[in-house]
Parts: sequence; structure tokens; C-alpha cells
Amino acid sequence: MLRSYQYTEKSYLDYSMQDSAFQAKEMDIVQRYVKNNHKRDDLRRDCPICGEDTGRYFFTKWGVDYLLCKKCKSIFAVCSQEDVESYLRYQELIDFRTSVSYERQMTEKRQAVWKEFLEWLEVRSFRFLHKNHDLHVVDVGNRFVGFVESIKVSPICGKYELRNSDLKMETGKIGRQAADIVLCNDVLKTEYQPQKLLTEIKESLKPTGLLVIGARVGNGFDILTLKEKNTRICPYEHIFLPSVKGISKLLKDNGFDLLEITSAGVMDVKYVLDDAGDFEGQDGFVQYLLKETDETVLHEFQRFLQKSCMSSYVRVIARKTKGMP
Amino acid sequence: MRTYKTVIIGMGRMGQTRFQAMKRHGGFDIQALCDNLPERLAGYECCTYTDWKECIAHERPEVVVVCTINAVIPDVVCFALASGCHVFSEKPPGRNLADALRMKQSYMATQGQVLKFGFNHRYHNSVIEAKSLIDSGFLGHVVAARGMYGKAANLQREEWRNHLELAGGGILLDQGIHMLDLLRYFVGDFSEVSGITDNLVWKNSEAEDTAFAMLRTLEGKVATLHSSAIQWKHKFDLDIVLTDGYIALNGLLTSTKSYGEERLTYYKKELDPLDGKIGNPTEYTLCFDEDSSWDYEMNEFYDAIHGDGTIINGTVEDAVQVMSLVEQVYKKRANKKEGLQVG
Repeated sequence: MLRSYQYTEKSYLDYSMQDSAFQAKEMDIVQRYVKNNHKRDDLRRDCPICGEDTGRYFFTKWGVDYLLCKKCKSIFAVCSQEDVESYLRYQELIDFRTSVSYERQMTEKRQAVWKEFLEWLEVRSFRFLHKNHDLHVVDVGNRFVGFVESIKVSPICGKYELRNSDLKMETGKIGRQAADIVLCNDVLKTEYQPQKLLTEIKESLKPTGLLVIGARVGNGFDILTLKEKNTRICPYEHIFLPSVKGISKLLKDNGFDLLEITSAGVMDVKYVLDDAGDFEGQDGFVQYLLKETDETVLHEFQRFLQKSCMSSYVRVIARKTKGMP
Repeated sequence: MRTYKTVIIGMGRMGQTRFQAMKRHGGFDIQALCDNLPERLAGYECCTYTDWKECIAHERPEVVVVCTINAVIPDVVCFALASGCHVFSEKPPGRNLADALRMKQSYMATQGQVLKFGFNHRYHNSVIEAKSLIDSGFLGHVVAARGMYGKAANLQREEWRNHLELAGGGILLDQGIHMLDLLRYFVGDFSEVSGITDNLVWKNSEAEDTAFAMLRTLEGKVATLHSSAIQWKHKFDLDIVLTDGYIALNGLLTSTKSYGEERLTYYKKELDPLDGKIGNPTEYTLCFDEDSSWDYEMNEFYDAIHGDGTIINGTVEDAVQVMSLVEQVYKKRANKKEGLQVG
């Protein structure tokens, strides 16, 4: 594997990915659903990657327990598959997220990030495919109209198919083993059986095609520091937060060669500053870092997290292992 | 996997490095090793020789790997090619342009054999990434480059590198040649060369401790090189200026880690940024923690022998072109020493 890190010389301390009023409303809908539907009794769960009883209690949020796998260090929620599937079909949430006003503010907030992602993809697809124009792109789980449109009009994309999305958009169809790229952004977080998703993706990809995953990871600074206090992590929106080690194992076990991991997350420090409150309960180092140092130090710390693959958002590029169907 | 009967001539540091890479590859059956210092051959489970000609003549290998001192390289390469062998040779391709041309002539007379020179830096991850970035057109096209490659060297130490008769040159030929090769790789063939070589610190050394070169292509692209044996800390920096962006390669991952972390940084031209701050574009930096360059290089050599590919990097033409650049810089030195005007 080519292991590389990527970081950006830019401070994100004043940046936000979502309007706070929309975020609060969205969280309120999710929380109501979980509180009304989560059944605690007799639930047990093995690590979705290691497949064994390796989870140790980590924290509880809205009545849902989260475990940390002692082997691969991934974090996963103790819940039932039926509950998660039912959550993903929850109409109030779908209606809210597909509303014109929600989509408009998301496009406003994230247009720059999507543009940067597509530029990054242009560079990386040329690196690994020797081609970055008119590619066949399958996009799994994209729920942002603005992002879908950006991909479709990008020179990278020759043919586009949207799958597993709440958006009611007509797109083309890309046949079996015909995709140059399968995009899988922010999908793993709600996957109860990630292996099944990877099998489906393998079916879609050309033998030399690229799987591009964007995912929140459980070994990220804000996830491990804030635990249940993290206002951006909640059940059932996040039932699976694989670690970098976990993603590597998951891909290898399911017939993919990991080509590159890029720690693209830039918001860890910002999230911890936002959510840690008075920092009580944090360990001494984290308290000192966040309360006593200045913006330059915090920016350098964020850069260190990215460079060390300890930021909580990664992009992964993988290819089917040679000889795998 | 088809394996090729192989001998390695010269078992100094580079011979050992190539030995390990060939073992990892698995397509080379290393039957014999040769070095004029018998102590370097101890501990290997294969035939050993102290006479390279006898080694090749007796073993009748399919592949000869040449890791000798510069002065011996052309003789071994030409003999091996004339014996029908595929040849992988360490850089530099001899001591001067005449040596490189002699090897080219031998190669032209062969029957489809493979000759590859070890311009290993082309296989470093940062260099591979830079080449991909340039070829993608994402940042426009290259207009200029500046390379700095330096180390801490003792030119008074008694070793072959410090004798012009054996080495052919100083820091420019020993190390700067890698940077010259990369400048050619990224910028193109140079039609104009000017340069200075000097002994700024090691005044009594035969070999230069410093070289500067300015190069220009027919299309007007410009490159500069600073090659130094008196950097006093290992250093590798290559900046590439493109019409729509910039690429910087800093550090080089080596076994000693003395050149620092290997990184590639790039950014795109942004003259109308949203925040109004010109000159502060978003930078992307890739840091590499694996050096597979020796393996990539051996893969290309094997594939070319096996008929699955051709030599792309380190061709005999690359060797001749880069030795021509080196020779032109050295000519300026000779002119200066003879009191002629430096071009």
C-alpha cells in the first residue's frame, strides 16, 4: 500500500459545515426517533470488522451503548439491524433532509469542500487510473443535490449513477463491473454489515477501478476525546465508526488492496473546542492544549492529527485485489 | 515465475541493496557475486569471484548487475552486453560522456538485450506523484524548476570517490546527477547549459565540492541546480513551477532517514480567492513513509527482460543525455581553469 497523508495549510477554527439551526433541528428529529424506538434489552453485538465479541464499553448516548473493539479499535453502537433499517426509512428525517431549504444551506456551506474533493479526485484518479476525464462514476448514498450536480458536471464524470440515496433523482445506469470509480462518502457510518456493501461495490467496479471511501473514523481526536458529548455523533446516524486499522482490515478481508489513506479531516480541534464545554473531565494535556494555547498551536496540532492519520475524517482509495471477481 | 540466472559485480553498499531487491522480487536467481575485496563476499550462499571477467565468462549468466566504481562500469557493461547478457548498471554511467557513448554503442550492437541504468530517484513516491501531477495537466505545464541536493562529505577521506581518475567527477557526478536526471524528467531536454564547479571548502580535493548549473530547453523552460558536498546536513529539495500551480518535493526517504521526511506539496494558482488573500492558496501535502523505489526499479527491469514491458526510466539515452549535461558543466570548469570566459 502507498501510505500517504494529506493536510491543508488552512485554519478551520471559524468554519462550519452546517448551519447551526438546521443542525439542531436535524438532531432533534434523530434524537426523538432513537428515544422512541431503541430497545435496550438483551442486545449484544460483535465488532462488525473482527466479527468477534471484542467490544468493550466506551460510552452511552441517548440510551444507546457504544463499544470500542479492543482488537481493531473501531467504535460501534449496540443496536439491532431492524432498528437501523427502519431509521434509514424514517420519513420525517428524509423529508427534512430533502427539503429545498435544507439542501440550499448545505450547498452554501459545502460547495467549497465539494469543489476541493473533486479536484482531489481529479488528481488521484489520474495517479491510479492514468485517466481523469469521462469516467464511469457510481455514487453510493449521496444525499446532497448540490454535490450530485457538482459531480455530474465535473470533467471527471462521463457517466453517473446514484445509488442507495434518499434523493429522488433520475440518473443513468452503470452495468456490472463497468465503474471506473465508486464513491462511498459518509456511508459506512450507518452500515450494519459493511461486508455486504463491499461485495456490492466489488460487483460494480472494473478490475482496475477505484473505490473511494470518505468516512468518519473512530480513532479521530474529537471522537475519542468528546465521546457522548460530541454533538455531531449520535445514534443511529453513526452506528459504525471504523478506525484506520479497522478500515484496512475490512478492505483486505473483503478483497481490496488499500492504495492510499488520506487524513482529510480538518475540523477535529474545532469540534472539541465547540463541544467540550468547560473541559472538565478532560485529561490534563487536552485541557491545557485547548484552554491555554493559542490559535497557532491549535492549527499546528490539527496539522499533526492529519499527518498522523488521527483526524476523524479519512479518505481511502482501494482497488480490487488482482484475481478477485 | 521465470527466473533469470544473475550475477552481481561489485558488492559494496549498492551491490548489497540490489541483491536484497532482487531477492525480494523472486525473478532473479543470483548464482554468483563478485568483488575485488573478498571480505565483502563473506556470508553469501552462492559462488564468489574477485575477477569480474572470470565471473561472467565462467557463470554465463543471463543478467549482469553492475555495481562497481565508476571507472570500471563501462568495461563490465560492454563485456556483459557482448556476452549476450541483459545488464542493469548503477549510475553514473561511467566517468564521462565518452564512457556513456561507448556503452550506448555496445548496446546498439546487441540482439534485443535490455540495458538499464539505476536512476533510482525516479521511483521515489514523491517523484512518482509529481510526475503524475504534471502529466495530469491539473497544474498546467512546467515552466521552471530548481533543484538542490546536498550532503555532508569529507573529500579528504581516502576513498575512490575522491580520486578523479576513478570517479570522473565530484559531487555533481556522484549525487547531483540524480537531480539533473530529475530536472530532465520533469522539464525536458536542455539545449543550453552553463555552470560553475568549485572547491569552496575542500580546497585540496581533486573532486569539486560544489556545482551550480543553469539550464534551458529549446522552448525556453529554465532549471537551476545546486549540488553540494558542503551542505553539512543531508538535503533534497526540488521546486517545480507550472503555469497554473506549483509542486515542491522536500526530503527523501532513505535507509538512513538522513534526508528527512519525504514530502510532496502542491497548490493551484488562486489569483481571485474567496477570502481575498492572494498568495495563500490551499496547499496539499503528501508525506510518504515507505520507500519501495528499489523494488519498483527492479520490477521494470524484470518486466523488460521478460517481454512484458520496456525500459522507461534509466534508458541508455537518459544516460547519454545526463552525462552530456554533466560534461558541459565540467567544461565550464576547465575553461575557467584555463583562463577562458565562463559561458
